[in-house]
Amino acid sequence: MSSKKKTLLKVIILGDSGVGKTSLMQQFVNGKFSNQYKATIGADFLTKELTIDDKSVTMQLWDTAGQERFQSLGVAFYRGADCCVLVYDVTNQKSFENISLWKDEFLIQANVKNPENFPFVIIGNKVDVDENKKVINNKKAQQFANNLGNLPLFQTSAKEAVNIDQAFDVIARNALQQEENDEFNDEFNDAINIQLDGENNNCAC
Amino acid sequence: MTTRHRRQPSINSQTFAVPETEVSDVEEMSTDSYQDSIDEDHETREFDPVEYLNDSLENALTSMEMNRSMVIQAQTSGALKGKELELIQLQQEAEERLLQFQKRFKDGLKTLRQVVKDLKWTQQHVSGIRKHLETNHPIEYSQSRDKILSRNINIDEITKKNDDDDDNDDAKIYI
Repeated sequence: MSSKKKTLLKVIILGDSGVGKTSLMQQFVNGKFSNQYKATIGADFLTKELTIDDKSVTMQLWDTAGQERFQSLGVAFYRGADCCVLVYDVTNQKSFENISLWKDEFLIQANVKNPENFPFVIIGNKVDVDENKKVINNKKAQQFANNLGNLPLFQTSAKEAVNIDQAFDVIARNALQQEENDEFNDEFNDAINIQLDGENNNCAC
Repeated sequence: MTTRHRRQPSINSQTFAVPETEVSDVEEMSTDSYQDSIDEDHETREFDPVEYLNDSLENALTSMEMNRSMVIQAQTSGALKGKELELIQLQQEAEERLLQFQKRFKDGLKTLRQVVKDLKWTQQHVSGIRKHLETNHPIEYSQSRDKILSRNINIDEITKKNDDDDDNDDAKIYI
């Protein structure tokens, strides 16, 4: 029965408003880019079939709202995530500083069993802009990623499709690794007690 | 069909397992095409109801429909939150403007009382002066009175002029 099943990799994309989360996802899944900004309300997801080392997997990418006013009150969709992508805008200092906040927020909300080993990937988006507009250089970002636990870092451009496939390949591999770890380590420790206290076992009829 | 976080059952599912011989009987009744699709492992494998229920439950919980419903929930929640914040902001703006209007109304009342007071004072003084002039300078007073009463006044012109002035005043107030 299990041999017929396909592995589902759940990936959550987080980051400040306007950093390009939706654009990254659209570029990777549909190969499209739009210059028009449209705030994501709540959350949405797209799926893409991938083959990683001859293994067929379905990647489910969850795009989330960056603007606080449109963020969902409950974040049930964080649960069961296999990888989390933290996105910042290379022209926006604040979005870079908020990366660690997004990481902490995710770990709290997703109730991750092993937070130290959970796979995160950092993406610095909009590298296609002029050099003088960039406020986060590669060295600074790399140092930050190392401080957060040697997290993989990619400099991408959703607009010009730079480094997108490479980034998502690493994301998929990390997610697959996490999925396999979960599968082996998960144990059902607490059995449900169906015997209520003081319950009368005799039939009343 | 997808697989996610498979858990080991806490009870021994072998207790409910159908004996191997019964499985063979079932398989013998199956059609040839179905048998072809079953691999060697499955032929000898016992039917495990707990695993079956587990898998069914997992599949039900991780289906696309479930995820779609979560998306709808998140989007509805986000839209509600957005609207709620917008309403709170509008309410705050309305409260601020109400306070401004209350203050302006209070100032207006104060001004109105002052104007009434000033008018009374002016009326008293005008009456006093008129009486004084009527008594002490009756000839001049009469001459002036006749001059005013016989004055040729174009009512329409005065009314129009006053209206124009009022309009300008209104415009000033509303600007």
